[in-house]
Amino acid sequence: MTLGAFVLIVGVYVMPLVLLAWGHGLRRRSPRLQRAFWGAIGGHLVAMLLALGAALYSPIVWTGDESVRGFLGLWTLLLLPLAGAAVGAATARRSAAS
Amino acid sequence: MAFHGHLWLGVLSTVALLVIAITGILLNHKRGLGLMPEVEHTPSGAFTESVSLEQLARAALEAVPQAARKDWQPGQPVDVGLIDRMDARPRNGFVKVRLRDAASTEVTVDLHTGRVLHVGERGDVFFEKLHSGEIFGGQPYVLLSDVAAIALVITLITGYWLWLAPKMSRAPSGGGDGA
Repeated sequence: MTLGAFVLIVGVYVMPLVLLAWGHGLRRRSPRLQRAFWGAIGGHLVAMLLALGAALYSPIVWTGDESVRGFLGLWTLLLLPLAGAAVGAATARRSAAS
Repeated sequence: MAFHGHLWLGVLSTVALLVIAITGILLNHKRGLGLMPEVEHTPSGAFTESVSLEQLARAALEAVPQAARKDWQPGQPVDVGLIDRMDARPRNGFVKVRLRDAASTEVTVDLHTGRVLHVGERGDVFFEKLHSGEIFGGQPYVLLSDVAAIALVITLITGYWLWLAPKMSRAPSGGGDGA
């Protein structure tokens, strides 16, 4: 299994599992964690659209040198939720401080 | 139990089911979407006068771009490793030669003259592999698609159960209303 395929499986199956587990008892968590959770959900939804687009267009098997398609199709489902969570947490800190 | 099974399976299989559903729709309309080349042709001779498979394969390889035929050059013996399949259509008088490149390039060649009628890409081959999961590394990855399909079936059953179970528990238990 290539690294890209491994990352894709983590993004498709493990990340939703983590988000589901995280979503349990969300109201009892701190505002910062709640914002991070919604950031991660948003990131995963955006990643889903990007990955689907990259997977379907164009209808040709992708090769190792297609870095943009490889990133969008394989890595975004893992990286965008993490980025969304980081942005959510950072935004919560800023709004709590103000 | 049914609720959590419904929720977790539904969320877990979302991406896989979206891919399977979208590629399924695209495959249903592959002709309309131009994903597979359509060549109108009538036989230019009797089937017994067809040229050899080797000549047809050579004509096809000579017609495709260099990227599709890799290191093979015209004049060399036909490299069968480049060819995925040759699909003969005697009633139409042509053979479809599909190559094993990333785009699944397909060359339509006249069975009797060896003349190349069309060169195009088979987008539906890519979508079929994506639909089945095979694209990620062959037959074992078909299990990914199977898992998504089983999850869909369980989600459908649990969805019905979640809808009907509360109604069944609230329904009157006795049949007699007293005489």
